[in-house]
Amino acid sequence: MDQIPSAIVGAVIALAVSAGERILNRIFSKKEKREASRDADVEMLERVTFEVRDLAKDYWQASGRLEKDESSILGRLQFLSLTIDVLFKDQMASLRTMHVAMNRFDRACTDGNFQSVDRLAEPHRCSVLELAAYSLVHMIKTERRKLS
Amino acid sequence: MTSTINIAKDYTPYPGGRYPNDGDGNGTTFRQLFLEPVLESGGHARIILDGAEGYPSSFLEEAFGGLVRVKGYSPERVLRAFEFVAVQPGFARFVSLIEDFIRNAKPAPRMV
Repeated sequence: MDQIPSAIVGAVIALAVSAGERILNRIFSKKEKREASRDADVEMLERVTFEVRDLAKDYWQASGRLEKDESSILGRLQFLSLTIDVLFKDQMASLRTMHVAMNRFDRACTDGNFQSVDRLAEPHRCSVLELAAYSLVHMIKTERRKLS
Repeated sequence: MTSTINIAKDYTPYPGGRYPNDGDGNGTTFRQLFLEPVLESGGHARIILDGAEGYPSSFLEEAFGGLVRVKGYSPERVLRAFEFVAVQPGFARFVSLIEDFIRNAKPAPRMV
């Protein structure tokens, strides 16, 4: 038994390589899943941001209370806040940047006479809304690229 | 002494609107019932933001910015009198939004 049969050596090496591949695949698969999940969150944030922008533009081009639109805007804004907090929870600097952009967008949508019964249309708000929405989406994508 | 004001439990889980005729959860009534007494007594309060459905900017500006703009308190005095707690995901940004409203509010000019 001075020599181990080469078939056994080969089998052991093959098993080790196979196990190593499985471990590496698992590691990469986990990372890929996390990245895919983040990309999906970013896509959803972009879509919902523009939904809010469109709702808010319609809202500010009309007068008076529009409770259904107000609820839709507020619910979606809260969803954006929640998703942003979860997506960037481990990156304090990114989170602070996102809060500034999110607050700017929120103010564009719901400041002034939002929810007031005597509210008059303020169509001039639309340009601010566009700017705040695109800035928010740009900031989301910029900060997402920094996530490791 | 520090008191605690939980907006969702003590006032409404659905804050919204600026003025009393805008509805029950408006910012003016919240300011008058909960915030102004703290400043008038020279006290300090912890404001819990968690638990509400969310906060429209108009409500927050009227409630907190209104302490400077309508009541004439200095931003520094208001910021010293209140601390804000927001632990729930999605709520932390409201703290900086409120502080911005307080810092940027301008007292309304008095009629002579």
